[in-house]
Amino acid sequence: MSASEFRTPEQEVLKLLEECVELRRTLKAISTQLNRMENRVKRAFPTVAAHVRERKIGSGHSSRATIKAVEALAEFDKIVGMAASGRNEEAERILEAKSAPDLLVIAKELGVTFPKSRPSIKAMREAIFGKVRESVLLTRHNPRN
Amino acid sequence: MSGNKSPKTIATINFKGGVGKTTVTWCLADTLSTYSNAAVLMFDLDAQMSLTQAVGLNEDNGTLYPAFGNWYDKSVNGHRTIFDAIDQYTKPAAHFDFPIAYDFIYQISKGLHFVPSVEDLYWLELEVFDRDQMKDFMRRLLGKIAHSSKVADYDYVLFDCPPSFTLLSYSVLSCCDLVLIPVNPDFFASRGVSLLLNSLKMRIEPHPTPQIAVFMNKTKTYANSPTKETAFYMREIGRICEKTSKEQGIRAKFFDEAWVRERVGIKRAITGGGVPPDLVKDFQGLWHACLGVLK
Repeated sequence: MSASEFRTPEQEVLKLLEECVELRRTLKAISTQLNRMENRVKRAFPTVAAHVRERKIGSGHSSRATIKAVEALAEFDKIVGMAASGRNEEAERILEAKSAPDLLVIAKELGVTFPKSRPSIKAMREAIFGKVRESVLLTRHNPRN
Repeated sequence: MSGNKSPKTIATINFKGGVGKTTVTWCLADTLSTYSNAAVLMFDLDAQMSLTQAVGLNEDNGTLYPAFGNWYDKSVNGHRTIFDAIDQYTKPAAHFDFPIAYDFIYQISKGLHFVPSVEDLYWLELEVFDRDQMKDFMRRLLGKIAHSSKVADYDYVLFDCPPSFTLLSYSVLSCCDLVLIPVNPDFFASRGVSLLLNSLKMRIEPHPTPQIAVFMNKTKTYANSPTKETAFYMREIGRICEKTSKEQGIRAKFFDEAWVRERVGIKRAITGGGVPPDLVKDFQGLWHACLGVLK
C-alpha cells in the first residue's frame, strides 16, 4: 500500500466535516419525525396529554421543600430500613408521597445528579430508590459457613 | 540491631483491584520516612509486582534504574527473594534459617527499605497448598528481621497485599497489627469492603482478627470537602463497619475524617520523586488516624 492511498490531514478534516453534516441532517430528520409523532399522540389522546401537562407543571418545584438536609438523610435511612426488611412497597409509597422539592433535597443529599436542572418526579424517585437498593445490597451477605 | 521492640505492622488490602492499595502503601511509607524519623520497611506481596516495578522503574526509558536493577538481579540469582524465604520455610523438616541482610532488603532511602515481589509468587498457591504450613511464615520472618544485626531496626512495616486471599496474605493477616482497607466512592469498591469484612474473621480463624481501618481513597472533593456523592459512600461504609463489627465481633473502624483526595497521575508520585505536596497532609492525616487505632 503506498502512502498516497491515505488521506492527508486536510482531506481527513473535509471527510469528517462531510460526516458531521450528514449526521446533523439525520438527527434533524429524527427530531422532526418525533415531533410529528408527539403531536399525533396528543391529538389521539387529548385527556392524557392534558394530565401529563398538569403533572409537568406540578413538578416545576415552585413550592418550597419541607425538609432540611439532615432530615433528608434520616428519611433516606428510614426508607433503607424498610427496604432492607423486605417492605419495598411501603418504602415506595413513602417516596411517592413526597413532593418534588423534598425529593430534590433527598436526591441532592445523596449526591445524585440529573442531566436536567429540573428533573421529573419520576426521575428523582427512581434515582433515590436506586440509592436505596444500593445501600441494601452493600450490607447483604450470604456467607458460606 | 536492637531486637528490643517489634515494629508495628500494617497490611493494605482490598479484594477489589484498582482502589489504590499500592499507591497508598507507598505514599504512606514515603510520607513517614520523609517527614518523620521513623524507619520503615515496605513489602510488595503482590505477584503483579506493581510496587516493585514502580520503585525501580525509570519512566524516561521504561527500564529499571541500574542501582535497583543490579540489586534485584543479585537478589534473584542469589536466592534471596521473598519466594526463596517461603521456599526455605516450607521445606519439610528444615530449620528456618533464611539469612536476613541487605541482599534481601533493598534500601530506597535512609528511612525507607523495601522487600520487592517476584513473579514466582504467581505460582505460590500451586507449589505450597497447605494453608497451615504458611500461617506463621510472616510472623517468623518479621522475627528474623527484628533480630538481625545486618539490617536496620524498623519502627513500621507496611505490606502491599494482592487483591485476593492468597497464602501470603493469609500469613500477613494472621499476624499484622492493622489491616488498612482503601475504598473508592463507588458501589463496587464499597461492596468489596463489605465482602472483606464479612469473611475476614472466618478466613483467618483461629488467629484473632486484627484491628481493621477503612478509609476513602480517591475522594472527589468540592470546596476542599468530599462531594455529596462521596459522602453517600462514606456514610454507607461507616455503617458497614459498624454493622459487621457488631455482627462478626471484629474491630472495624471507618476513618470519616481521614480521607485521601483524588489526584490524577498520583501513581507517578512513586516514580516521580515523592508524594505531591498537596497530598502530604492527607497522608499525614491518614497516618495519625492509623496510629490512633494502633494504640
